[in-house]
Amino acid sequence: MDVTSARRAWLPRRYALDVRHALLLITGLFFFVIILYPLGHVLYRSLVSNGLLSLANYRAVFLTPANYRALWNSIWVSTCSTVIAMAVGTLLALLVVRTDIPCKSFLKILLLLPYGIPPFIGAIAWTQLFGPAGYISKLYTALTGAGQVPWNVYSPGGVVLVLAVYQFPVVFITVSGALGRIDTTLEEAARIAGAGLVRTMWDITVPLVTPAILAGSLLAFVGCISNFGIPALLGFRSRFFVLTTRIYSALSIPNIPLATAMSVVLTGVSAAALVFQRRLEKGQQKYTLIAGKSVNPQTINLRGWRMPVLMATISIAFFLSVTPIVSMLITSVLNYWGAPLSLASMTLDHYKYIARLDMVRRAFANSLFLGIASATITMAVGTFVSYMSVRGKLRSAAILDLLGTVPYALPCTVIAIAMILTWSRGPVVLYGTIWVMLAAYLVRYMPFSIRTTNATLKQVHPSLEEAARVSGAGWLQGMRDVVLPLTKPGLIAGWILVFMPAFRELTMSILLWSQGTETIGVAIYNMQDAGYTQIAAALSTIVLLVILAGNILVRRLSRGRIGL
Amino acid sequence: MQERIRVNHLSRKFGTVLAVDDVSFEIREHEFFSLLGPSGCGKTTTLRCIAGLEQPTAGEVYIGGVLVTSVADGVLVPPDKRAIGMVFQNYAVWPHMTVEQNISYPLKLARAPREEVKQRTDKVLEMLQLRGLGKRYPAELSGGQQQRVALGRALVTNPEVLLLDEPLSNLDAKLREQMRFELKDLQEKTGIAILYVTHDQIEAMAMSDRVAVMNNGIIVQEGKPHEIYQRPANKFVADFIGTMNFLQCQAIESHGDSVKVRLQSGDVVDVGYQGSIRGKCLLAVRPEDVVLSRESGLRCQVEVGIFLGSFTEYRVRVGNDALRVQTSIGAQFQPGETAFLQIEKGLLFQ
Amino acid sequence: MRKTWVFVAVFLLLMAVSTSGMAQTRVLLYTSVPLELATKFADEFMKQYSDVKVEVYRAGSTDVINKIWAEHEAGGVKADLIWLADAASYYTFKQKGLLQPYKSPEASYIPEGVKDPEGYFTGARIINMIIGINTNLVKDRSTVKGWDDLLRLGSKAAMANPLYSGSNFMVTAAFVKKQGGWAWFEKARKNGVLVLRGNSDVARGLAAGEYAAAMVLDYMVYELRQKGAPVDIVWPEDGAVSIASPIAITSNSKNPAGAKLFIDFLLSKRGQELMVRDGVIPVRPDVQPPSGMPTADKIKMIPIPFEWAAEHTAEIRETFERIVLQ
Repeated sequence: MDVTSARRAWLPRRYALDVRHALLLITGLFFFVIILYPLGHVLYRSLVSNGLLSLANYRAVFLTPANYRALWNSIWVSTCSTVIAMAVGTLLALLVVRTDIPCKSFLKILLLLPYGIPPFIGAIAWTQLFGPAGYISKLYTALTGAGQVPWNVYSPGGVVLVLAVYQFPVVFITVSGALGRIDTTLEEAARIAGAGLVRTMWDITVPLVTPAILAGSLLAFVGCISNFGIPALLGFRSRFFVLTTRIYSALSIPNIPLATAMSVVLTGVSAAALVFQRRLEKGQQKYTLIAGKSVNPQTINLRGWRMPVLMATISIAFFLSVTPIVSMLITSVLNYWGAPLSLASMTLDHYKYIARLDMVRRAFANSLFLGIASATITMAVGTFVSYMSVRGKLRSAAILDLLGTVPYALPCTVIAIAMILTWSRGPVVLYGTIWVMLAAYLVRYMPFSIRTTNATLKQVHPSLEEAARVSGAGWLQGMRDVVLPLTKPGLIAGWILVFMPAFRELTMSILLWSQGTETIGVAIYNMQDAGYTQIAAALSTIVLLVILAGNILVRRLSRGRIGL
Repeated sequence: MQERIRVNHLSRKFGTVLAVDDVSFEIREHEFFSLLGPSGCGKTTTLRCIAGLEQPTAGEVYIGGVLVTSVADGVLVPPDKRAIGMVFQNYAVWPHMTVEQNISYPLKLARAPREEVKQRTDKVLEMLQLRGLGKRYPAELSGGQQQRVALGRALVTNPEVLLLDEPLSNLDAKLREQMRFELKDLQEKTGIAILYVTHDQIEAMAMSDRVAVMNNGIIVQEGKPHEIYQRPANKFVADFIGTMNFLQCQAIESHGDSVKVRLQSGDVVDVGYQGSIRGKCLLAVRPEDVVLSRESGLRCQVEVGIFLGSFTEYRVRVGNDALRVQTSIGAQFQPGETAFLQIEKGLLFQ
Repeated sequence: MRKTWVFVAVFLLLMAVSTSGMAQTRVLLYTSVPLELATKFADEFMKQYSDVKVEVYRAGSTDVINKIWAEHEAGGVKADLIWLADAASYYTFKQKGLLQPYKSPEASYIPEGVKDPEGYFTGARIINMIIGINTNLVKDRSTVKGWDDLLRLGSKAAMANPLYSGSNFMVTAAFVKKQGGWAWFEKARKNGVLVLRGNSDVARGLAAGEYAAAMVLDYMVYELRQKGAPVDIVWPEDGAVSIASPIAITSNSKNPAGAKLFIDFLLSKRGQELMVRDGVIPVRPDVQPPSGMPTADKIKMIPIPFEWAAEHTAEIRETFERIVLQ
């Protein structure tokens, strides 16, 4: 029998249940159990008041001044932070990617450092710098002789700025990615047409990466609006509340129905942002024909400006990344917080204490497990779903794709509440185990993986895989021999993008942990919460070192292709 | 006639590789000048140096008599101040602007009054048969239309110099032929000096007033298309331009304007040649310079024939050498048949 | 391919590590006592009873209470021991059957006022809500004497949030009951007294000089003073709020024997002496308080209406939220 007729013999099997359909079904069930069912719980609880279906809880959200003010605060604070993050992130991406500024990789690492620090630790570091008794505030009053500093971190403005600091790397990452892929002849054509450097950037480059800027900004917006640590630390004192901190208060009272209703509203706001962004993206799709075969990426010659621009960028990067870390380091060796900076008040006791703690060891093991497990599972599921919707163009897969992206709009607090409501009662009780945390992590990071796998798969031309199929490879084999090897770098990068934030996750863990399932984030938070700022700082320093070391390791292994 | 582009001793090094090695040429008004060569020969780099998109490591460039690049004097006018038009290989039509916006963009940058912008854009749209497409986005256009938009954008400011970087290579055959005529027409109409970079020798031959053949960063021959075709300066040019048969041979006798050579089959042929040549050499013969008959000449074996419309091309074997020969419609040969060939014209290379 | 297997192996190993970790006999303690203190205590206990492993879950009072209720609803509280500052919630726990009684032999040394007559819970340490001052910022001690002086200081004074801190919840209940209303808190809101999250935050800011004075727990100020911070304790002339942070065994305890050992140790002379080292006033009259601190019976107190607070928990919290936090 020759090859052709051997292959033809398989044709009549088209009605047999395909592996892909079975996998789709399983994935669908998985998504239902892990995403839809818990969300349904939240929605249901928010609609029940005194055992009856009613909108009373929502009335409480929109008619109680404290609640609707918090909603409004959430919106304007997040918008302001997003605008700042967008401007700073885009500008820095342009500088680092599209000019001949020296020390690019160093600058990149410097600018992405804030991404490696848990935001609330960063927020603490900023208060240590700019708080009423902060290092910089003290310096300022000493230098100027003024009795008081003219700023106040414990204010809405402080919340906006610190949120922006922790969200600009997101914009930076997405925009620099898009800039790297742009067809540089488009810019050259503008130069030939008579446009100067700045004009070319403004007329050509920026519009072309606008979808990326918007996508990054949306991420930043959702990040801001769902952040709890920063507004809690900086807003509480001036009685400035946002939705997340109000939800927390409602949980403390405890007023679960109100908490769930506010959660649904919060979800609504971020979902609206998501829909808005999709709209914009669609409107722009008509011109997103960025050519695949980009030639040698040309950088803009800064000439005489090279050094001044480098200095300015380095100072900004240093200020945003290194100063909080330094302040964290100083704090970690201080006797007590706010102690005068002298050798006499320095100690390594906090590090010694950490070394003795069982809990810290457990926390590292748990975080490692949760990080690896959630990154691996989400990437596997995400790859499959993206593949089926991008390539297979299957409608059911497209629905799964959308469903998997829904948690994008879900603030961490809401996910955690959903998990508590769902898994602490009923047939399967997971609450109090590490599995409920894993479930929450999976929900949280699924959209990240679907987004990256979508983008990665789109870069592999279908003809490559079709060539494998025509050569006689089955679906699974074509996937294994052609698609996966080609997408491997992208997939590994996506894995790391999930692992890093999962490794230091706090917002969900803090609501879900129990004895034995502590995570790094929880350990740090508890230390901070119990008043051991120095121990928390010491632990954060160690975590940061671990993340940096891991990053260097990954860069080595991947020969510089992956990692920050 | 006025000189529009002059390139003096231009070199460009990438690391240790010399991509462009001491290249000099000039292009005059109304001239269609092609840089022809295989990929990687340095032609695009030369073009980009002229456009100011690339910095040469040595040499000078003048555009319209003005020094725009000089490594020695430290002159480097940025591309936006060179007043040139350029069409990129992939057109580089801005996807976020409409056809009209694309074309009028250079005028806007030049701060032309609104009426003038409108008028000239319309004129270009008209000239390039893009009327009615002004409000469309590039993604809604065909390849040929996008190409014309790129051309329109390059021409709208009436530059004195137009640089074309393989602009036809992404088009299908039919469209490519049509565009060739359009480009020639355009040059007639505008008198613009065109620098055309291509690897397609037929295109270069068909359109150029002068051609410079490049290889390994060096211009190996420069001249009118028919000169280059008829008198290639070396084996590389002979091989690269048109179809050429190469036969190993031995020069045995020189007669001032002709040389007797012995082919590997043992046959002896007379070839026109100026100067003296001895020992081993290479005989280059164009397929159309061979006459195939049943009467007289070198004995050969017909292997296969391809009918090409106005002529038929055969592959024949003389001893161990294979040759491509063209015959007019008249004579027909069958594969396996024994025939005779006469070499009417040939070139000898040492 | 080999890398994949290594990866899978590491993955499985981590799963094993994170799900195992079972000890000999285990006592699980849910507490709001600062972690360092709680673990130090557990360590000392385990030195003496090496076959019992004490594991500590520490969070703010409110978080712990919420967790307890969640677990209770989900099928039973996991902890063996509960040790919180919010004494009022023990009345609710007792009423809802979450606790089991235990009369420790050591409890006989402890005054009646700080233990449940039926033995459901026993006060284990005396923590006092006092006024802490930053000595750099308060030059004239006579200006900060009583609770009303905090109101005068306005945004130069701070307190913790009773929605989070159990001790502050007690204080709020005590103030409201004593004054028959929310006047003090209304004024605090009007003058802009800062409300932070927990007492540790308050103590930290006080040491750093972010404000001049604060309503804060005594032992935290004591500890900071020991470390050299410019802080001091002022016993308010109108009375401190003294909380006998109780410990209790849950009715669901899997290891009541171990839990009882821990309580015995905690209430023993040695246990109380350990606490004194960290600046905490002991519940036993036969143990000397930390130097410079009064014995429990010498403290002028504002009484805490435990049962009233337990009954009106949600109402008190909501009112505080409305008056002070909005």
